[in-house]
Amino acid sequence: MAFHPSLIFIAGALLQIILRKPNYRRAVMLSAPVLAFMLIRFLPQSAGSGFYLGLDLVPVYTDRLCFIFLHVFVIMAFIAALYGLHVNDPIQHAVSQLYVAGALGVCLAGDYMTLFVFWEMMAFSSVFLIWSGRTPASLKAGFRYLLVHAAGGLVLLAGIVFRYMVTDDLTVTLLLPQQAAFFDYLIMTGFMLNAAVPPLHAWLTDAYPEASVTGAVYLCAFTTKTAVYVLARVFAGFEVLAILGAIMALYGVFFAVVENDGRRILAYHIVSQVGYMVCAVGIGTDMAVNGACAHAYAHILYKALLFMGVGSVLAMAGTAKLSDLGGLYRSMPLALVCTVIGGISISGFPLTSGFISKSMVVAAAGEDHRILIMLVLMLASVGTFLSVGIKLPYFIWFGKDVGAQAKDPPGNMILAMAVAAFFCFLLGVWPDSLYRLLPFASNYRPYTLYHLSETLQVVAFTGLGFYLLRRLLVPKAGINLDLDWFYRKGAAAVMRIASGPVSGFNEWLGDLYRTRALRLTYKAADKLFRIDRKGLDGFIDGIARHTLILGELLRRIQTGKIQHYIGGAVVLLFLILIAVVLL
Amino acid sequence: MISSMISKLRENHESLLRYFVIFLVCLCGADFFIERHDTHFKGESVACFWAVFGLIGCVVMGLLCKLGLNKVLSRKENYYADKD
Repeated sequence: MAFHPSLIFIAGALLQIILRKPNYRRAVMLSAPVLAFMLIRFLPQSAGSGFYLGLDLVPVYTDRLCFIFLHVFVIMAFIAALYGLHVNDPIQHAVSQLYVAGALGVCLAGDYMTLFVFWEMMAFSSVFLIWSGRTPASLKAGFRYLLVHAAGGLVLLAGIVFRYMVTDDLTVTLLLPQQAAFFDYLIMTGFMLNAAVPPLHAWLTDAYPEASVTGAVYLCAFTTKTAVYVLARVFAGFEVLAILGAIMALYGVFFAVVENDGRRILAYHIVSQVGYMVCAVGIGTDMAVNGACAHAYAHILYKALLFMGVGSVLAMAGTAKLSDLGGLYRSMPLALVCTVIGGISISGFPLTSGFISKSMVVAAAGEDHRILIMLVLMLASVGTFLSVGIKLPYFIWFGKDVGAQAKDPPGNMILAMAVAAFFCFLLGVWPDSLYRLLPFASNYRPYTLYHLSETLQVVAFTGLGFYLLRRLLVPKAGINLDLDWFYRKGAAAVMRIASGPVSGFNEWLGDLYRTRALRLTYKAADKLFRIDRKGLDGFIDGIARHTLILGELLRRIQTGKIQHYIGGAVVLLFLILIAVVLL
Repeated sequence: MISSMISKLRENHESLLRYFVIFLVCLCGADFFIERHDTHFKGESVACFWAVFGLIGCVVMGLLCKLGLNKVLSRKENYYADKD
């Protein structure tokens, strides 16, 4: 049986808790991705097939589509670990390792049940990365995130169960649109929620900006991209994805143009950029799926770079709100350079990773004669350069100098950003280093005179547009309503009902119990007391003593914080999982 | 070093702007001579199509988002604070 790469990260997570010395924990954080990087090259195509609980499980299934995602995930795990190396928070590091383990597990899953287990492992570990923000806002956002993902997980599970009932088959395999039944659409909905496809996207822009600085770097890489991966594996060629993806690409940039919080701007750009990938998956040709994979690979690295750059501003200046920042180029020049490299990569500048991946998706739309989609994607790239390429760095590092006290972040954060920036250029300068990993053979050549002219015209004239509108685009303090309004307001309405009629009924029931039932209880107790006095005292006293000791133990465990209980349940689940895998 | 370089560039922003305009003109000029390949619709054959697309796209998107979307959806920072 092949050694599952997730086990490396699960072991890494356990070691984060067990090891006392921070340097040992740091060594584990960095060595786990290195080990996994070596291991993924030796994975067999299919391994570990086993029969468990009456289900035929395939925990390890690899092909070229899977490999490219594994490849970038372990590279990203290394960069994020390096970025968070100065943070002395074993719990945060442990959950980040579990999160990576979940992402690798989803990629490798050959059956839906294994996929679902790792899918939920990602959801439950990632919420702790949001809570690691350790602010009241992050606590609330984490609960909302958890509820949305629990709902999405249930829809996915319903799809899987129905699929098993009808087809008696749990293999994760490509579907043809005409073959799809209602349960496949349930599975697709579960996947789309994690890919943040509108209208199921608001959890992302609500929660990611509240995560810890390091947590956000992990979050931006894994959840949405594993969703793109499973969509590409199962639903490539579904028209609905092509349309929703194009809408998504534009939706994200519209909000990013008006948003004030730097990390929320980046969160909206995850929606937008994942839109390119979902759209490409929907187009479904070999070139389009190649484009989706290439763009996922490039996006993980430049988006992490952007989150690291803006995260370092948050860490050093205490805020990521554009209206409270300005003139930081004097005090944080290295963070500026790294963020600008991320900004030009996401905007698809020549010689950066975005150019060689995004242009592939746009070309695939054109080759498939989807002109409207092609134009929408080009328009989204105009908005991308406007909001992340120019607006974000301009209002943080230039603009009006607000005299914020800050300096460049610690060396490990700069180094992590430099590594990500290096990859942005490496892929841009040497496209074949990425293209040779793609699932299908590719003869696409990004560097032609026409492509260069096309791209330079779009970005340069977008720059001119920004110059003309620069006074209008000055960010103002405040938030913008999005679809999370429905469940945030909805939750408030549920609370009002709970504290009104439901609570009233509860009180009435309590009164009834006190006035009627208690009298009966007293009488019964009196009778029992007599029996008790005569024979059971000795026996009961013994039990009571032990109960008291156990109760004291339980009291200590019960911190009253629901996050701790969820954490305990998750740890227990993982221990069971490890036991199942090992036995 | 980086910050002093940027400071110098900022001091000479007028000449920077001039170079930028020259760059835009060159870009448009060059587009007349560049051979098109794999064009997917008629617009792509028109010289400077993407320049016009970028400029109009940017301005219209900026105006729409800032004067439309933002006006309708903008709320105070603490809008959800005591309500969720």
